Amino acid sequence: MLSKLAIRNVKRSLKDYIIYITTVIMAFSLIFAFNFVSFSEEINEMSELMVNLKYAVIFVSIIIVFVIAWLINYTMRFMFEKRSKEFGTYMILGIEKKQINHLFLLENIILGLIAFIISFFIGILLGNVFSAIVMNLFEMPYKISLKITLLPVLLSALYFILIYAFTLFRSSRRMKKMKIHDLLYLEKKNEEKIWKKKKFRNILFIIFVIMGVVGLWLCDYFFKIMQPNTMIHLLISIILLIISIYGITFTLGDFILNFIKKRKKIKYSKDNLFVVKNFEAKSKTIGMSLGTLSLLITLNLICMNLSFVMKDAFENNIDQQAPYDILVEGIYSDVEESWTGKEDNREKAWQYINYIHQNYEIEDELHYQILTNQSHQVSKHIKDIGSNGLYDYDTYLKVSDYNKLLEMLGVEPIDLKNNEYFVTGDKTVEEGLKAIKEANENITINDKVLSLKDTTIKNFRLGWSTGNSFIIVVPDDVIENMQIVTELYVFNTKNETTEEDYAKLEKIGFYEIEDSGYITQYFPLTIRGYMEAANKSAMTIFSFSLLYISFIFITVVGTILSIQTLSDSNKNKYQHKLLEKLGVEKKDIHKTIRKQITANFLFPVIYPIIIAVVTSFSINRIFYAVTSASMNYLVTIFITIGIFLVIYGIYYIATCMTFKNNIDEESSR
Amino acid sequence: MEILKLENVKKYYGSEKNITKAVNDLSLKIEEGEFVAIMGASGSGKTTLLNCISTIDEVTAGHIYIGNKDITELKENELAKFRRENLGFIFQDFNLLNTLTISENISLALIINKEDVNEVDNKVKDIASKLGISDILNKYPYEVSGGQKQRCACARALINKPKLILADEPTGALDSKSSRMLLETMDEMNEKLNATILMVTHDSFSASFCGRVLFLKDGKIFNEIVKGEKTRKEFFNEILDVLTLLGGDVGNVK
Repeated sequence: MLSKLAIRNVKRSLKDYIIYITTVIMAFSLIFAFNFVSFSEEINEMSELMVNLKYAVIFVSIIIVFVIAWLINYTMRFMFEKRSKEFGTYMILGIEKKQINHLFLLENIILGLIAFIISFFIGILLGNVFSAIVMNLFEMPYKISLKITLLPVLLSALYFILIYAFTLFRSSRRMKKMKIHDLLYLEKKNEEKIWKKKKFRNILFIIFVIMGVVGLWLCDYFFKIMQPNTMIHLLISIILLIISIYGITFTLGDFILNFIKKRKKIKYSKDNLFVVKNFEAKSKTIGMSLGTLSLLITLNLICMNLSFVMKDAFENNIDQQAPYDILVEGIYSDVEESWTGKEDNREKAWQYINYIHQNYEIEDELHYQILTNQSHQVSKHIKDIGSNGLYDYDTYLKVSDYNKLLEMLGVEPIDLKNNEYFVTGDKTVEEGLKAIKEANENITINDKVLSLKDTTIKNFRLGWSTGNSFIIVVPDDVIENMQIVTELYVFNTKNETTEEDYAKLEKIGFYEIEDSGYITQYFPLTIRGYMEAANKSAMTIFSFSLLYISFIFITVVGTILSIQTLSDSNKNKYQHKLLEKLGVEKKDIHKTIRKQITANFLFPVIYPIIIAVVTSFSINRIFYAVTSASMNYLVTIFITIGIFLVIYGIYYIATCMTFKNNIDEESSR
Repeated sequence: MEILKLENVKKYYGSEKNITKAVNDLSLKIEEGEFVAIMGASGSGKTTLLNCISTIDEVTAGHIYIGNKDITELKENELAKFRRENLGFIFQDFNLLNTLTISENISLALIINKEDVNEVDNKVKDIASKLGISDILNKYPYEVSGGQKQRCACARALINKPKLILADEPTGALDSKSSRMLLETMDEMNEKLNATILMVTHDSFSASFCGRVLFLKDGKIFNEIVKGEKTRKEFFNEILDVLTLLGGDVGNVK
């Protein structure tokens, strides 16, 4: 009879359970989708490195299981409170608590299983969309057939069981602690006060703000210095920020209230008092979960931001490191002692080059040298931290080689007069290049005076210089009697290179490099196809995992806020009825409600947005060098916040509408 | 035979500094077949007392015997069994389950007691016809009127033939016509089915249907009157007299 009643209850209270089911479906659809994709053979076979995706997703899933467990526990508590009176009635009628508990658990399991099965199908759909995106990334034609293997299903089922074991256990505990009286009168429970002394609480608020500022400063310091021994800074910073997030959530409500109470003009204008008081009560009772929400939003914003930055960094990295299909480096050098004179290496280099000539259809090629006269006429201006390359002296490139290299990239060549020089560098030496331009000094090479034409950070490829972050382009005829820093050979092949080409060329052998007595092997070829695959794999793994986290977090945050607000709608109907009785028009009540919901939704996002913007500035310090020139961290963080707010906004609107319906329904009854 | 006996029952709320003595050293007895009302102003401890008797709340001190069993000594599972076998409840806000139809709500108590399945329908029909709700059996609680809901709650409370029916302001949410109908029903339940009913109310009209009225003040029994051979009208006036006295101590008027 118990199971009958449970099934009947599920059927008839489906409307009340809609939030619960949607929550579970959304969460598990995402879990399914991400697992399907990460375990999909097609995706794993795209590149050697892609197998790591599943490990990354499993790792991330550990965090996700915790967060989802928390979410479902929360939803269950909401349902429990909503039905407390019903349970009380059962108890009055003489059903034992144990049985009622079983009934509730049974209902939850039935609903959970239904949701789990639905999410399986939505998961397949979503998984197909995700894998289409990944395939697109690898520029592969996409077939709509994500093969469903057993393992991801089993894993998702395992997560499901873990989450439900935890939540059902919590729910049982909750039920055990309840007395009939509590159950019957739960709705009438009052909000409790945590901070009794006002003075203390205001001081605390200021302390928490200071902690936040210090935390952010330490975080920035860490990214500025970026050394292993500053790890402790990051750790302290994270701890401070977490405390500060929770602390501010607890105390801000009071702080604002205090501020408003003292100013009668604000206090008594319109419905401010009602909204603020309501909010104060909220931040006291649910401060803890609001704090957790703020924390999740912060993490979500940082993860999403990182995901975008990483994507750009990896894409840019390919162009930086492998601008041409094949690049052979270190063919000869006058200055690089570790392989100077090593005939073996030179021979090997030509073996590669000959092999390429014989086996590939070459579209374009260039053999060129990077030269030096060991002077410091230009390099003295470069003072950017961490940007002095392998050599501290000036390195030169002939303008004809430079233009050819540009041409091979499909970029317009530059026009350099006989008495001019041109400096090109990457983003790490941006400051240095500015300094060079400001100084506008002439340089003298082989008694010839050259004036500065211009500097640029565009089009510079690490592959050209193998060492410095900048290079000086000079007229062809001034480079007599210079030492060769390194000699390179670049090819553009007719067909795109692939990972397999790497394997083929690797068979020819390696350079042997002597370094302080040790001989190490070095593969001097950069093959674009291989780099691309590696970069895309790494990018997919990082971005995918980070996006996974942010999607789940945003779902969690949105759902919990909706639930909180909606459970208020039940508790607050008395207040709204009272307002109506006091003569407030319905239109104005709706306005008040909207204000309340807006306050609820806005409150946990403001501080995280501040933290996210500041940390994105700090994170930019290390990603600055590797992201593309067009990448602006401020734009990225605002896009991130924008995406977040759009999804968040959907939750907000849905909540507003449901809340309004609830209240209208109540008053029309 | 005594159905209910309270011995020095105390129920205190609050912290050490600020104690509310909701029920303060109260003793009383109720015989089988009695229809007793407890009256008193708000805050006099009526509902708390009823909650203690109905095992919804625990007493701070003292003993409550229902049919010779001390319910203050029972454990939680024993209490559940005890409630289901001995007590029937009627609440101000009905406490019907919205997911069940009226007939299912009534039969719930039987199902829980694991009565013979074939008997359930007959018993429900029987009690429903006695209370005049036969035609709404297949409706849901939200589809019927407040009076009908409360009669459904009565049926649910009665169907098990409990030793004691506890009613907390049963007419509180009803209009006067429904109130009268309900009270007449309860009167019939008391007379024809010999149900023992303990009702908390602050409404003199409701109380005038009972055989005995206890007046509570500050957690203690302040006065007690019995209907005896009086007409309802006379009894009603008597109740009003006591209430006037109860409403203000002579000492309070200056």
